[in-house]
Amino acid sequence: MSLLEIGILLAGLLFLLLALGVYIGLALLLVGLAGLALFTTAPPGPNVATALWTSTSGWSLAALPLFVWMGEVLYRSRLAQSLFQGLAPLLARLPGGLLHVNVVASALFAAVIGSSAATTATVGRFTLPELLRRGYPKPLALGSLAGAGTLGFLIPPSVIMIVYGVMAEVSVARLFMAGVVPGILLALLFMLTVVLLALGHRRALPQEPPPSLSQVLEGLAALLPVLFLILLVLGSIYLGVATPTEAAAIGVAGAFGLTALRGELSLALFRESLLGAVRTTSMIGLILAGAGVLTLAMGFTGIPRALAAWAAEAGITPLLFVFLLSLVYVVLGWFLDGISIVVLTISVILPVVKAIGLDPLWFGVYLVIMVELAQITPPVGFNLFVIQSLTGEDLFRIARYSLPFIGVLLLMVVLLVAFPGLATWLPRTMTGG
Amino acid sequence: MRALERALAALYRLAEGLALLLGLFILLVILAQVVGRFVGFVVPSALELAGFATAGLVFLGLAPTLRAGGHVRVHLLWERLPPRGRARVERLSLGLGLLAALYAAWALWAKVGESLRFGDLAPGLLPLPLWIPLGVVAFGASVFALALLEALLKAFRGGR
Repeated sequence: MSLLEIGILLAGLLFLLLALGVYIGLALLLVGLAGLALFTTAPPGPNVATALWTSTSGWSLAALPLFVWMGEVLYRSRLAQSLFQGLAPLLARLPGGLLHVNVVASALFAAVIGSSAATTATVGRFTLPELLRRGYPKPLALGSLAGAGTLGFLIPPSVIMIVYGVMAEVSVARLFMAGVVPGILLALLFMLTVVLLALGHRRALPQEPPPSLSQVLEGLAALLPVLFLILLVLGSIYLGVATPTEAAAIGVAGAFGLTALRGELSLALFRESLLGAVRTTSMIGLILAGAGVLTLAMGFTGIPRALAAWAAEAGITPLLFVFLLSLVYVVLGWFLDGISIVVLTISVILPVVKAIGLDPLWFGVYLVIMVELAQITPPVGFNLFVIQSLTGEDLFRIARYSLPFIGVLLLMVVLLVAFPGLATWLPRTMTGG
Repeated sequence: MRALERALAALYRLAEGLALLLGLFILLVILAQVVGRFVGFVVPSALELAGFATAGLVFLGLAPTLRAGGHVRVHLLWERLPPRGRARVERLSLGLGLLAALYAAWALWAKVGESLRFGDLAPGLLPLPLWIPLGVVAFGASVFALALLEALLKAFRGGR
């Protein structure tokens, strides 16, 4: 059988298993096993065991449970509520008023939480009821949160970047830093979008009274704990004082310290946050382990290498490649979650990425933005699920509300392709990592 | 049947408890390493230990996470089926998943045995026998397979 036929067969098997609803990690494992057993002479048993073990036991992966844990602690604290009260007087006078709180709070929490869904949940739990109570139109309140929540993956720490870095053997510290500038730019673009939308809905928006100076000062003071945590975690990574794993441990300790200062620390908080971290890590770990088997099997079949050689020979330009890949991601994003998209990409596409001369660091940031798109495209979009469970609103309606923000994400992809330095400049200024 | 269910539930709780302890262990060992750098002591093999603990946490957490409905799957086809079709597809997908988990558990136990025979040691300062963390991972995979089997049996009973 030719490599092409094998590739089509395995891809068909994967889609069949996924469509049947086999747990994604196990479906990846089965396809990898089929590839090993049917099309290679490698003994499947020992190879599967080794792949399962090495894909989950790397030390840089230890950052994953720790960053998830930190996010779980902050989610359970009422820090987000203080942040809302703090940001409200600072942003009230912008066109769009408190809608900007969605964006700014998401950006700030994204800098201490590693996932988009967790960022959306942490922020939305407090902002959505408050915004709707104050009479902000639902499409704007829900749409801006769905969009801004995606910053969770782009602004470090980022679960997706850890998964990509570990599997693609790219420095997680450098990936984190590569997400900073695009993350801030994206947040500003979201705010600009809110302004433009607000100008179109001027009558429907409530007018906020001008805040007093003391309110502004109190607001700034309320931001300090989060800013301190951000500086502690990201600053230590940027300066090379701590590895991402170490920064994550410091972050967990810092998050517990903040909750202790607020008088919220309890055994229940400790246990529940850790339990949440274990469940999320296990969920991601199963996908990683299955992807480990698939990646190994693909390597044995030689399909990724053949694909890379073909791409290089056919003279596929990076631009064309990124364009075609983006189309694939949009389709995959309709029915797969972000992490599955990333691991599938790495199993098959990464050799091509390297062969046609794309920078794996830049590609990681591009991939994160494509994953963010997947988070808000129905019927499977985890940000949409979160907002659905917070408000009970219909999934497709939330997706329609977030259309302008999907447009901004697409614009961001174009900007990133046109100006690769957006991603690669900050990591170049790092001393270590 | 009841007693068996209770025994399984206890097994899942045990796996979950161990996973929680490993999570705490990762935090403490990394924090100790950070503190040690400033105070001037070295935690032997801190990074390797944290990595092993992560693998253990992932695999021990598989069964409890399954019970909590935490693993991701694609439900698009399933949602569009009538109830009878749903039950069939559910059994098929759980059965296929069970096969994968059984194979993984078997392969991992074989690796534990091999590691015991050759006396493999972890790289780094602390010569930890590799069969210990591998055994934790194999145990977690086995409990996961049991949890899938229980879910499959329930799907069969519920379908009648």
